[in-house]
Amino acid sequence: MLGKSPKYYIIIVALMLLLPLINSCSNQPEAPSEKVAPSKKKFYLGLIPEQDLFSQKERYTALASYISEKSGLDVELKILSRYGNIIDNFLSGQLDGAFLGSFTGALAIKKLGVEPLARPLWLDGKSTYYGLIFVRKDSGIKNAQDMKGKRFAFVDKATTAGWLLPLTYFQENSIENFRAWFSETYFTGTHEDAIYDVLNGKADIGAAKNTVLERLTQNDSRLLDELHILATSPEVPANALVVRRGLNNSLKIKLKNILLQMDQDEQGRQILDEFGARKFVETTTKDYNLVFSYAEKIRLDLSNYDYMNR
Amino acid sequence: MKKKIYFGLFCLILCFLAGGLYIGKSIDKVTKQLEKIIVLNKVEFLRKNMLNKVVLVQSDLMLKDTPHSRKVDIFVKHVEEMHQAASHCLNCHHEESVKQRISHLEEKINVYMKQISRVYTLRANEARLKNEKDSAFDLGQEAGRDQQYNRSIFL
Repeated sequence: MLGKSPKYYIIIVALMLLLPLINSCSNQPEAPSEKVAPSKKKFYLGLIPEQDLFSQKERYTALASYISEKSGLDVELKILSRYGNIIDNFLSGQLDGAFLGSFTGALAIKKLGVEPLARPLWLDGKSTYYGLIFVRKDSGIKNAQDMKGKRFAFVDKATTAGWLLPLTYFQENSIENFRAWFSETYFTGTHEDAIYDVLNGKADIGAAKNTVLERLTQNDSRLLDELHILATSPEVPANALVVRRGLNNSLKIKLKNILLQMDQDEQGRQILDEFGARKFVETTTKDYNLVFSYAEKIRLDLSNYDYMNR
Repeated sequence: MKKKIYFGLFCLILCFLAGGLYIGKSIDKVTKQLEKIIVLNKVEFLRKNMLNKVVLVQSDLMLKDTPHSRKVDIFVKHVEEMHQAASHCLNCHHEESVKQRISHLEEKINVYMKQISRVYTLRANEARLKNEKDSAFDLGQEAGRDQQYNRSIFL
């Protein structure tokens, strides 16, 4: 080594000095260019609490995702704790659409001019539901007379099954002041709670819709064994998608078509199956005529109706 | 002399081998202990996270019908997060006894969720409302206590 020429040492030293440059010259990963996805337009979709708040939201989540995907909108579910809140939310402009029960739908049509688009056709081929008044089989209650001094669980003042049906029943059975007839009346807020309150003895008589009872019966056979149905209401349209007045016409058509054509693709069929429906069918204001006349029968003025549970 | 050198070398190699084995084993032991600590930390984090979510929902419940009550949207979000935290616990464990305890806890959380939903939707007289609210609060406390008990099993 010592015998090498100075040139050799200069080259070695030069190469060593160049070493740090090797790293600095290496290809530095470029900062990822931020691809900002074009923000989708929000579409607020309201839900009423047929069953507990969380199960109800979960039930509609897949459907909302499907509508989002097909429409290019960002559909956000907004679950409300009271049926009447949906009217307030429409009024304050916080909702673009909602899945409403027959009475809330009729109320929203009369009060706000909302437009119904489509409703599910259930697996049994029906797109309707009806209300039930029920008691425990061992309660000994067989008619309106037996109900005196008992506890009645309504659902909400904005429901057909949980309010209109009982009021009609009271009228037909000459119960003029139901609050005096019963020892206690209250609003459970959900059909599920009205059913379970009677089953568990928290109330003596309850009113709720048949579709919720049937859904719950699938997991709890006690409901069939221990509950007795005293009265039913006429069939009314199932919970339908309604949209606010003034919503873009092309968007209305788009939303309606998405729902009506859901059964034509595999993903849509799967969601419908989980939802318990065969497909969606077209719904118009005319479908609510039965609810309007049912309300008229007990002299309810829907345009000025006070839906607060008191 | 040559033999002595070979013997010395052999002893040296033997020492190195023994040392190497000892070091390897020690590292392995320490790594296993560290892994266990990491898993326990993770479990403890999940447990505390879950407990915090329960406390948050309990506070929502207590603030209901007061001037500081939270919006239903926020309450629903808190409950969903609590449910997610409870489901997350079930993903980690495979031992049957532990799995059963966590499934039991998840069932309790589901009952609690039904009850708190009821508090938010019910409109009744004060006695009934108070009764339902107290019942929901007790279920939440019970779920929290179960989590504390589970800690003693895991750690």
